[in-house]
Amino acid sequence: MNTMPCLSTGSIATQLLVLEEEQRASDLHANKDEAAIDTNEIQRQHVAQQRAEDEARQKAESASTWGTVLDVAKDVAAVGAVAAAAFTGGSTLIVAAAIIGGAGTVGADVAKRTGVINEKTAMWIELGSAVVSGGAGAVALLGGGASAAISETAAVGKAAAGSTAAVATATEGVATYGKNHALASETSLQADAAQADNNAGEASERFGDAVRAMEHSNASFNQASAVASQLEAADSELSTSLINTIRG
Amino acid sequence: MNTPTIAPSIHGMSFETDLAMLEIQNEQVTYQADSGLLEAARAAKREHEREQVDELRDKASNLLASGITQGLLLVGSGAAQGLGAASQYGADMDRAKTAEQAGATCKETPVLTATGAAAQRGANSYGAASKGLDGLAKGADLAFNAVAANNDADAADASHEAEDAKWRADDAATARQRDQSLLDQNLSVVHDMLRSDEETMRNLLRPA
Repeated sequence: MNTMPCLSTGSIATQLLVLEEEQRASDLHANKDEAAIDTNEIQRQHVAQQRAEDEARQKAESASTWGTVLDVAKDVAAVGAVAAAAFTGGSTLIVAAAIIGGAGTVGADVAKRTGVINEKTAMWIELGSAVVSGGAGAVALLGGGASAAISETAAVGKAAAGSTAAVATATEGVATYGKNHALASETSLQADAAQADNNAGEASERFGDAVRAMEHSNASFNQASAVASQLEAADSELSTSLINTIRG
Repeated sequence: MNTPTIAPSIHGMSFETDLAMLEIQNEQVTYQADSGLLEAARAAKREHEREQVDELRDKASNLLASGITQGLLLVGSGAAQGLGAASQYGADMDRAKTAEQAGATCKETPVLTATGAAAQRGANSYGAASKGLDGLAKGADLAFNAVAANNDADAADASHEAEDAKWRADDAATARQRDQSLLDQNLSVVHDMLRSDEETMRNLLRPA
């Protein structure tokens, strides 16, 4: 540790106070730098947050578009399945079940779009319809292996309906991936925005601490200056008294 | 609770000044305690905010996994459905031709040729595969939705916890600032008291 020689006529206490003043001035400077750095950091994080939120909104729009494609594909697949069942000419019960299943899917979608039911209810209706359609399909496969004869025209119509339903189902798969990919990107960007917001909050806390430290440092600096002045005056008075005493 | 004993003044300070010094020490302890509370609350807030971000990232991963799984299952279902439709067409055409040759009515069940029977078996298999894949896709949708809902709930919980910690941190910061202000005021008072003590000592030591 370095020792500083006493160069002035002031007492050790005065020297100490001067050193303290210098220390406080240095602290003030450091806090000022910290506040400037934090201000830049807050601005940078706010820009990052804004950018992430904008991109998240774009992804939400993309997810909405894919959602529309998905809903249409579902409806087309349902209608195709109903049409294919109608061309079968098999059991009336199976055809009726296929029609009910398809109608349930399309009806739930229409009701959801018009706001009659919420998304969750629509999901459960669609699931129920899928079970009915699946049941009809299973019964047709297990019991209806030996189908009644149909005309060639009906066979072509049935194949066309089945193919349409197949393409619609595959499109449903692609749309599901597209929608979920967009939703995942949106959520990820929301996480980025939240992270930037948190970082800005931490920088803001540091900024507040630095400002409070500066205020306190200023107050202490002023107080120390006042004490130093008083000590200087006392030292001066003491020196004069000593000189007067020596001179007799 | 132990009451601290006040040492007799042996360094030219009055009893009141000693007391004021003890008060300052007490305030310093309070200040340090509030600083500890502030740091703890800020750490808790950071931790909960990190949890919230982690939950959102988990949800994003689940959504992507859901999209890939369901997408593949549905595309597979569509492909099976298409193959089933093609096989069914083959079987139906075979059936129509056989019926036409036999002069049967549409209501009767005609006998299929070997090719037609194979096509019908293929159509049945593809149909079953398509339905199965479709069902799996629906199941995956439900499972992933449940996980995503769980992520949402956890993220919301973490957000509330972070908000609570923020309020605690704000309270601790206010208390710490108040402590500091009080400490500064008391230090100023003690300084005045010390000067007054010094003056008293000087007056006492000054020759009459």
